[in-house]
Amino acid sequence: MTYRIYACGSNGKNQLGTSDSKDLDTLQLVFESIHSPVEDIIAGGNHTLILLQNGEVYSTGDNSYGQCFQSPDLLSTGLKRVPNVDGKSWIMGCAGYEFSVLIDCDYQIYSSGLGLKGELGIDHNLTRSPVMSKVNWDSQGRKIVDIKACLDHTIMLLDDGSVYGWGNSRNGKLGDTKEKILWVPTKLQLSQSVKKIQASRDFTVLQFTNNEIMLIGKDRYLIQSQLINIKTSDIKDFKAMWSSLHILTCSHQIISIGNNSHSQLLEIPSKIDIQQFEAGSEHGLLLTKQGTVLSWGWGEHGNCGTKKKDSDSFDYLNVLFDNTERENVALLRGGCATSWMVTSDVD
Amino acid sequence: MSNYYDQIEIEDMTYDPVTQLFTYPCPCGDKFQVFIDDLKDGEDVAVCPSCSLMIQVIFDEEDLDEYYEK
Repeated sequence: MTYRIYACGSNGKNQLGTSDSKDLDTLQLVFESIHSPVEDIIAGGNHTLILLQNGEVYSTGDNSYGQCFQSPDLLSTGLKRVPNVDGKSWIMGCAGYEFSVLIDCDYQIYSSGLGLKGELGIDHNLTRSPVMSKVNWDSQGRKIVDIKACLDHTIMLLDDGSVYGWGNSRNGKLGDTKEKILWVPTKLQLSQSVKKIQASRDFTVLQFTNNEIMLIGKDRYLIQSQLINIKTSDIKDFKAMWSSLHILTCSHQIISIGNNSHSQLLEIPSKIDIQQFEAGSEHGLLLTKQGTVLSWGWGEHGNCGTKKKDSDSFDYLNVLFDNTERENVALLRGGCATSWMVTSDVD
Repeated sequence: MSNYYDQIEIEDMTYDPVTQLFTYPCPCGDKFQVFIDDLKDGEDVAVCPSCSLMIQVIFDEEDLDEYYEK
């Protein structure tokens, strides 16, 4: 089986992993994995990590601060393998603007890059780590279920329903704390157990085990107050762009709340059967039941595909990939004006 | 409707006393930027060198004093 990764969008620092650094407005094949499925594509500001299910990680893009886990001599890089530590498989990771975090199969956490607001999570006042460094955190036997980062903060969900975070904690996006920066992983003080997390630029979104969604942090677009109109039992999934929240309902509708400066809140016609959806920094991607990938929102760098109108705002659903008989779409991911699609061969 | 992508408070921006620039991450991966002197002169827009997006900087003129002292 061959798994193929296609990408388009902003590519100034080679974050798409192509042979040059030109932006692309059509999906281009950038990586092939012959044996292992692709677990995740983790997009930072101008860098990208590709995580395979066999525990290998590849990185590409801006490495000025070591955020690609490559030699600090390399300012930017094409796709290169990231070493495993002590032979341990990587199982998950996240990336913010100029930093990256990887977790191995023993739930050891490693980070690298630049983090003036505690993004590295390594130590007090430690803002730079050009090489991979270990984050000192005792899991106390608990498993890490998910980890998400946006610009300058990281949140981590454990199997006991607790959430830890580090980075910029101004305005409450890492919970109630007087500290403006949390330099090391710190437990968020929450009244209920959490089952799903999302990180956005100014806020964090938590879904509790009773399905209720809560936004913590700066809520400039009054998103929380509009959530009351959504039945909690109707929430299937949710994703955040940098300034909006998008909720997929059990009836396959997307309810969008927040900044609509570039058609980020486009109403998705109810006739579209949504199988999967993803949020980039300010654009959205969805996979239909028929296997077509559609995009909307801010697409100035080609991340929404080729323009049909003379505007960078895609106020319509644009076809980014049309179903073929040869490949199935397995995964979609959105980054900072980048779009990613993983396919597998049809048997 | 305004032409701004977003409005950002000056406390959320990063100030570099060497370049005299306030910066803030742009969703394209680059950074919005504006000189402190331009803000002093009444400008309130920060632009991104890599794309067409603009933000409006929310500040009072007296907010700038503490940054000039840096």
